[in-house]
Amino acid sequence: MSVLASNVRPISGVGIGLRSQHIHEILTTLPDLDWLELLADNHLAEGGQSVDQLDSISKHYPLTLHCVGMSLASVEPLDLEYCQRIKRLAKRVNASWISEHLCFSAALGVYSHDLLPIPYNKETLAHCVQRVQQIQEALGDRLLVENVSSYMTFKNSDMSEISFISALAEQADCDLLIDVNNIYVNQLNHGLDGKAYIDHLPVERVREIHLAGYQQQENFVLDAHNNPVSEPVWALYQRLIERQPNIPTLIEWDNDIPPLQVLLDEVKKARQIIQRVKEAQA
Amino acid sequence: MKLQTMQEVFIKQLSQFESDATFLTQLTSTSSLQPEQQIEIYQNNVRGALQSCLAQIYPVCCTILGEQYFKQLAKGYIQHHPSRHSDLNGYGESFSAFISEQCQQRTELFEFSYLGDLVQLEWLYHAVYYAASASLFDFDAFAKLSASQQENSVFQLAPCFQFMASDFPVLSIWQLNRSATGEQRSVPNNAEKVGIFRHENQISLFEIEPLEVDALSLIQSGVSLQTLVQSGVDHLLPTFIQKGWIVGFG
Repeated sequence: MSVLASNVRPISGVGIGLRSQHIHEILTTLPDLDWLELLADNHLAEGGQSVDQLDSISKHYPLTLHCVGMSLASVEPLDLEYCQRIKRLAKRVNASWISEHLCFSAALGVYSHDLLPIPYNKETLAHCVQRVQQIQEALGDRLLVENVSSYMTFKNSDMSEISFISALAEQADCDLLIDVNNIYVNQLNHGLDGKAYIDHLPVERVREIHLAGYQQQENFVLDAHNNPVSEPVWALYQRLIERQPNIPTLIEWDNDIPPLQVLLDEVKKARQIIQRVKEAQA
Repeated sequence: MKLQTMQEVFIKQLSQFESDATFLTQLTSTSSLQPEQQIEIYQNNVRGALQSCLAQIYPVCCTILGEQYFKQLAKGYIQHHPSRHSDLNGYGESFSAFISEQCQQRTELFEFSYLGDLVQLEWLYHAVYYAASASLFDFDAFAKLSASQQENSVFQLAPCFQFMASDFPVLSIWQLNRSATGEQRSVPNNAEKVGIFRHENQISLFEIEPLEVDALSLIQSGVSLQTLVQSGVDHLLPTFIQKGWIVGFG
């Protein structure tokens, strides 16, 4: 089904989300990273410094695209022009795949630029299945759908998040990007059972894992992506890796961005866990 | 509540920063978060993202006013201007008009009457940064047109070129504050007309002549070569093309 590019490079191992603060250092030092992920929406402009830099980056590292603008679960018409721009970017940088969040971000022509939660029920599921299929048709490729962290729960949710996302993946025939930190944030904010979530994932559809850090607020935790991965998240990650050790993993850091070395240290930790699990399973 | 209604009511609360009583009844309380707090978290996220966006687009305005005061103004702007762009880079174009209005209404801003124009300059800089690069003018194609076709031709400015005319020395103020060192500065008195152009990855800002502004304004409004000749500005066209400000015709 893939029409992104004929020579897409395989993704494996551990990578980081590429942020503008690190581009120069990465291009000059070419650190030991298995792959990089672009926040696609930051690279859709026709000009700007990033266009040339992306071409250089893509020569050295396999890339994937991570989107925030599809408004996947929105009831508004799908923005097909946006999908085409994403598709062009994917071709340009030879991206291996495209991912988007299970949320909506716009309604009534207003854009929140946030990942807004949805109730988990049959009506929403039917809508999301149709939307994912439409997006995959527009992109000409399978989409990876990511679970989101949330701070809101709906009375008319009659499915668990894991039931919803599993049914979506099966019915829309899409793949999954599992953010382990988001699972843990929802565990702390909503009492979700993170271990059970990991254990019930349709792991054969999980093509990518995200790891990030959260920020403790007064009475909840914020998925701020501004801290190292927490120990409970590493533990959940190991639990997932024990089910399938070869899922590519990404370290995400979006706010209060530290020196590149801090992210490389996180990459090292993830690699150590993968190695440990593989040795134990050998 | 159906999915469509839920999304519409949810987004209204995020753009108007008010709670909807009916919507709140659709939410469940958790051990840590009541429905009111749940919606407040998203309202704060949206406001924070748009405030950061404005601070990034308008760093000189932010420097002049101070971070806290800028945030307060930005909050007022966001309250009345929800984002209508899927691309966050498209947000904040009307901030210039908002700031001009504030400068007339707030006594503490009376001395900053130039600020609206300065904000406009920062918006143009932002637009130039993200615009497509300049292509080369096709002299051969233009030469192949008949004399009549040439007279009726309309020239196109490069997407990575912008200009503005101000009654204030906006370029000088921008330059002074762009490299802020914290010392007291006096504001020059002369009006300035400014061009902004990106060549490859380098953006330059420079003063342009009043006649150049006249010519560029005419070109931007879509007049023909014949009108440019009648207006006495056609002699500037070769220079504009050579500098990359004009990139095409139609």
